[in-house]
Amino acid sequence: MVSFYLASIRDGTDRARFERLYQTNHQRMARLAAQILGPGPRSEDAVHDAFMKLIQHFDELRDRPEERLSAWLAVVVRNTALDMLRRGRFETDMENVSWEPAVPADEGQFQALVALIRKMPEEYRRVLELRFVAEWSMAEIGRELGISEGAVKTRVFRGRRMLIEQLRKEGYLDGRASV
Amino acid sequence: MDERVFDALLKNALEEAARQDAEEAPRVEESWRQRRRMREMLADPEGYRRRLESGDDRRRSGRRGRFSRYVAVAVIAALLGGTAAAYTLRGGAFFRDMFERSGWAELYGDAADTEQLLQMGGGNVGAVVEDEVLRFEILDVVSDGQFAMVSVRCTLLDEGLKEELETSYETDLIRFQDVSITDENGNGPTAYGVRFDFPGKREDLGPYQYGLIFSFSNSGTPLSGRYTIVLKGLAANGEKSDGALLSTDAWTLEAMLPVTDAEAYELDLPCTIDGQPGVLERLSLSPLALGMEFRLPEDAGGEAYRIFSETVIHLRSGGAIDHGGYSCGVSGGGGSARVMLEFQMPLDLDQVESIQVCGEEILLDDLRG
Repeated sequence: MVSFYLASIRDGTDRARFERLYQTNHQRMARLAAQILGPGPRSEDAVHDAFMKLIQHFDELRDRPEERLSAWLAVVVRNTALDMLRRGRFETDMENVSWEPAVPADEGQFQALVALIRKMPEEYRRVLELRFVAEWSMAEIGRELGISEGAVKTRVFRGRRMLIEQLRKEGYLDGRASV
Repeated sequence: MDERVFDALLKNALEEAARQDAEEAPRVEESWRQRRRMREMLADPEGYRRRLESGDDRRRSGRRGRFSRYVAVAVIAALLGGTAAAYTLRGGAFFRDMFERSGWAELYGDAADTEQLLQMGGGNVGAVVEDEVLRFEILDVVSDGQFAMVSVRCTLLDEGLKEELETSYETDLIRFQDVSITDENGNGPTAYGVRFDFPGKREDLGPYQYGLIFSFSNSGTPLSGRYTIVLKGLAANGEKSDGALLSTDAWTLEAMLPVTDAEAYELDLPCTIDGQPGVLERLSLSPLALGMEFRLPEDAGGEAYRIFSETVIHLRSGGAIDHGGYSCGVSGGGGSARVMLEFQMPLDLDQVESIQVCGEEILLDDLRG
């Protein structure tokens, strides 16, 4: 089989952009990875691998604004770090999740939603991030997480519903909202 | 709320949540290993990705549990992309910092150029050789074609040997009884030396960590390609140790030198050496060293060699670098002498006006034509 590589990062402009993204984001990504894996070689590997994924996907991502790419990198490094945690996590039964009321950093539905996201179980937050921020397909997410496409769809559905119901309980959505 | 509106809100909220997580996480210091491999990635992202995907990359943190002897050979071909970013991210950083802190900058003034070391960086930087006794990390490799330096950090891992050093020899210092440096053909350089920095002497040397700086030079044949450093005979090094052997093992390190060359001139210039006629056959000038090859009377005594350390490098600024600003090494015999002056700072060759040696003054502009 002949393998060939497409040059995603084509020229000096691409390299300069890649370097800018690195300089802007690597410290933040290191902190994110260390939050999950603790400081050390594994969290550094997560950061390294996230930038490798950026290189691999650079063609598709080239036209995105840099603030979106920063978010993409944050999601990917979180996902990579979580992936590197030891197996042995159990699926969380949604019904048994206990919620503390979201304490929004300031007024508004948006901050309430952010606070809820930061508290939600990782297996739901991950699929939501990969779906809505990284904009991966269901199939891609399934391959990344080692689960079926159907399981991905289920988690996306349940994750959204979890957030919506909690927002409703806390009074940030009224009962007539179509979601 | 419409579903599309919620999903848009959700997307922004997910991004904001990730941002807040990062902001609230404590700052972490990147290890030297991480900085080095990210530097390689940034210098040539596509090349790095290809090497990684083809399985060439061996820098992942795969150490778990038992250590085993292995050689991590990673030949790094960092391509200069012609951008400022690629230039500033090449190897040579350790030695650049070392020279900048050396205190010789005042003597050399504007004639010193440490930044050029980043253009002289070699490969295999970041490689690790490790077993149960010692860990060697290649910190940096530089070469200007006739003079090369390799910086290695050695860590003593064996707890039993640490205890033996402390209790039996009252020291934490070690040395190696035998060091050899050879190229791909098994040939040694014209000359070499090893500098040992002991724990605490440098910021990056903790307990039982030692800094080894190998420097070697060649007359005639440019230094390039793979060089192998073999260290044997780990011994205690203290007043009470009498060189007691701790291990008969051998450790093998590899450094890849960049392909480059010194400015070299065939001169056949008659000169006077210790009052007798001699000939300066060849002169080679590079940022780290001045090499000279002489033909001299076969019966010339050791006193003749003294004259070589009276060489003066005159600078365009009017300043000069004499024996106080370089180390002089001489080898030879039987009618020939090879001299290598090792500069205390990397020299900006454009600042060199002339070289005064053995009663003759050689103007660089004349040589360069």
